[in-house]
Amino acid sequence: LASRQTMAMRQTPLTCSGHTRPVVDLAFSGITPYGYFLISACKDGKPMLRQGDTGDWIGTFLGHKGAVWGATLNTDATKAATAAADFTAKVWDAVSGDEVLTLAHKHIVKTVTFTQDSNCLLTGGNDKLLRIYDLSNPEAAPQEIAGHSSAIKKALWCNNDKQILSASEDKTIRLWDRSSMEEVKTLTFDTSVSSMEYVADGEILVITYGKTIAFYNALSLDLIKLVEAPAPINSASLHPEKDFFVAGGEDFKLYKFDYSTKEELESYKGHFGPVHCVRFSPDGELYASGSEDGTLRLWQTAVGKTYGLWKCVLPEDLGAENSEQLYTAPEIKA
Amino acid sequence: MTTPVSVLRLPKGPDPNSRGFDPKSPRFIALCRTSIPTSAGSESDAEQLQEEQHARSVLRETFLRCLLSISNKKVQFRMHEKVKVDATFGASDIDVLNFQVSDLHTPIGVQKEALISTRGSPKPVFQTPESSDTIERIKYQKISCQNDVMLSMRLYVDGLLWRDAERG
Repeated sequence: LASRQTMAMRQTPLTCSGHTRPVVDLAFSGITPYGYFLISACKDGKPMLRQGDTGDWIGTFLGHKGAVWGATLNTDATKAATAAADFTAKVWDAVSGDEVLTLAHKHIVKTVTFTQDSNCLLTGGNDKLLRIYDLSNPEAAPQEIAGHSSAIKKALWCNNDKQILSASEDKTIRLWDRSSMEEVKTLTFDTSVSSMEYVADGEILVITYGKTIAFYNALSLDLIKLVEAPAPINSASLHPEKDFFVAGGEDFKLYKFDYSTKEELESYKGHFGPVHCVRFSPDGELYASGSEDGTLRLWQTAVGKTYGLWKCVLPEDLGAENSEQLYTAPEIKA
Repeated sequence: MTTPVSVLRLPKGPDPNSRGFDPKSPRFIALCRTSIPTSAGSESDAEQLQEEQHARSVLRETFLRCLLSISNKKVQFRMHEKVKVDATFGASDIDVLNFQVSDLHTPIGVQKEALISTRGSPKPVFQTPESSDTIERIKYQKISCQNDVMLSMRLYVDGLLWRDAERG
């Protein structure tokens, strides 16, 4: 640790190219026997699956006929789901890349998410309805929850899949009970929320709006704390151990904050456009960001640590034979 | 003076010629089981495996011959909600995701050239109305094992094509 500190390592983000238009959403799977995986939603209509710790491309899900606004993986990364501007949500086999189901909607679909057992899919979009599909009986009509007065941007399962959280352009976040399908609580804001992340362990909800990153108790919707960032934020993510959180937005930078003290610790330039989404990996070792510039970037939580494609090089190793095998990223001019 | 963290290499990008999901990857081999039991286990009988491989290749060949035979013929697709559309069949893409057709008669007009997506369409039925005495009707039915992934196909064909397949 001491040698790393005196060396003052600079973050080298890993750029994942391949998308040709803005990356608007991304999600990690849980940790599987084959590692963990990352799916990215892109306006080019072609969501991609990548190996989570390296960013290596695994495959592209082909089939959507419009921009893909939302993408998710189930816990063991055997299924993927996507939400698109072609008025459909699709379920995919995430091992073979084959399309398994197309679920027709009446308008642009913005968000999709699986229950923990992967048996149900929750969707939401511009038709203002939340829909719950039973994937073991996809021909059956979905359950519908109405209430939002404007497009739904994000919907999540919470409280062990017994409840649903939805964020809408109507500037509210609503908590619904799944069995009664009724609204339990509503949070109203001055502006519509830009992102929402649910952390099951500890039941924490991370919300961003304006320059604010807000943390709420997901069950009671009581406010835990608010943090102000230097620029408008589009997405934030809390580290699994809840010591840090990261955020990105309109100034193209990634920010890392201390969760307890709310102090801004680090900020990184790298993207060439606004950051639309940011998420920590399930092991907390890295975080991924998706941007208007069409790329995904992977960032180390502990800069300089050997992990994935990053290699910790001690001063005595530099100039040795093995250093020639390493790739040193070119200087990025500010 | 800061030193950038070294990396072993850059993340691998997409293959321009493929949609990926390498069937030789350990994850694919472990998780994508086939519908036919003999192939699933590594301890399968070699003779049974060979028979199965032969059967599979016959199925594949029959399917390809069907597609070739209906090329430039008038066909009818049965789509969602019992909509039937007539068209002249052109070709299929390699993944059988799209069919290229000409002169597509839809309820809202005739499309000179079109691509019909096969995904989401439960059972496309090809029927050629031209030959009145021998109607070649080709159906394919998904034989699913896991998550409705189409792993093999059984072709039901009335007329010439089926007889060809039987001879093989």
